[in-house]
Amino acid sequence: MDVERAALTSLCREVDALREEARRHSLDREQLLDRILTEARSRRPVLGLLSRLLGADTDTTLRALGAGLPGMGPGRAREERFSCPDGACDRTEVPPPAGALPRCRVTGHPMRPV
Amino acid sequence: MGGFFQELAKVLAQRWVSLLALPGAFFIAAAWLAVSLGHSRAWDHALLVQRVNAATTTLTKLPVGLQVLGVVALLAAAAGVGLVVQALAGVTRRLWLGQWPHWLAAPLVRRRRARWHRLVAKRRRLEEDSPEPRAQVDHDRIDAAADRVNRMAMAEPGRPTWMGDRVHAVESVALHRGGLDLAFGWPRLWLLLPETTRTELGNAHAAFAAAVATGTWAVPYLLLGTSWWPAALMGVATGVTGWARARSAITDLSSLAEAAVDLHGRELAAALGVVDPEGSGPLTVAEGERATNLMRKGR
Repeated sequence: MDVERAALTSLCREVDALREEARRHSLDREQLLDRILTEARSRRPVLGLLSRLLGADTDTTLRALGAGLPGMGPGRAREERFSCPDGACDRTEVPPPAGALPRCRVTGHPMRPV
Repeated sequence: MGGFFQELAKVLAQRWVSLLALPGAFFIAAAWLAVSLGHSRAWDHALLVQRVNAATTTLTKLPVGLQVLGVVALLAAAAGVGLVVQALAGVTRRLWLGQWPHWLAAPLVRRRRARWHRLVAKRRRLEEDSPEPRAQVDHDRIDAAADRVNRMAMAEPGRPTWMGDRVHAVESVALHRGGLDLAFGWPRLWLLLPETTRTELGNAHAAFAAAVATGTWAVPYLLLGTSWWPAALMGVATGVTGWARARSAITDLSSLAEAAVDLHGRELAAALGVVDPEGSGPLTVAEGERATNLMRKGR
């Protein structure tokens, strides 16, 4: 696949994430992104400029665009709540993030995600 | 076969130059500057030019044989310094990954754990204050609070350092959510992973090892700083660069390792005969614990 085409595809898919990320850095970076978008709209090459924006070589840029940026933000936090394994009581538990799954203290069975 | 060995020799020579000889030669040059200038005249350009001229004159007056011997001695010294620093890299690695003696690590682990739980409590308060369905602004606040928790540690801290906790989180999540003890499970899982996954993990690990090596070069420069202070600045810069790169590399490595456990944990349990190879769905804690029992064999 043509690398410029791949870069333009990734740019189009992830422009919002890039804009958000550029805003967190500096005015220079935002201006560079604006320039990249101007070039992209005129269908001129953007891979070199994207490399400057991401501070990487062109191969890494393609990889970063396809893999890194969408996961750079905080994402949407997920709450976990667990209830009685067989619904016999009303106890609910919220374990610490990525912590051990709570168990029923009477039967020892793992509690059920709500 | 001849081509293979030629290629191998070329690769080894490149690695020798980039890992040992080149940084070693820079250090030898810095050591020469330290001896020539010292603290009091650290930035004395005139003295430096004078010393370089004197050294060049002495060298050019030597017979060719001695000059060649000098170059060989210089290369050997550079490689020697490089080898010593490589040997020290293991210490840096243990230090950064928080593999410290228990008495030293325990107070820091307690402090990190308490701070992490305070951040989690803050997130929980925000969640309780704005029950579902939430406005976007409440979601954003909760997301930011969850991000602060995750940026500190991806699971309850268990090591005294940030990098150590990145690795600890992978082990903790595998044990608590999949019943797998990675101390025994990781080598078996590694044998089952597809080639592409192993390559990605290998690249991330190589990046971490390179960052550790860079950071370790701070030690000789800091020592040299006792007799020529600009070397201490070089040491600090090298150490900070290595440390920053190591943090980034360990983030990649731990994320990939957790992903590998999530995606291939069931295959491991199936290969051990604990679950049906045709089965699907996430590995349960009970299934993972049965696999762990088989792997640990009572150890």
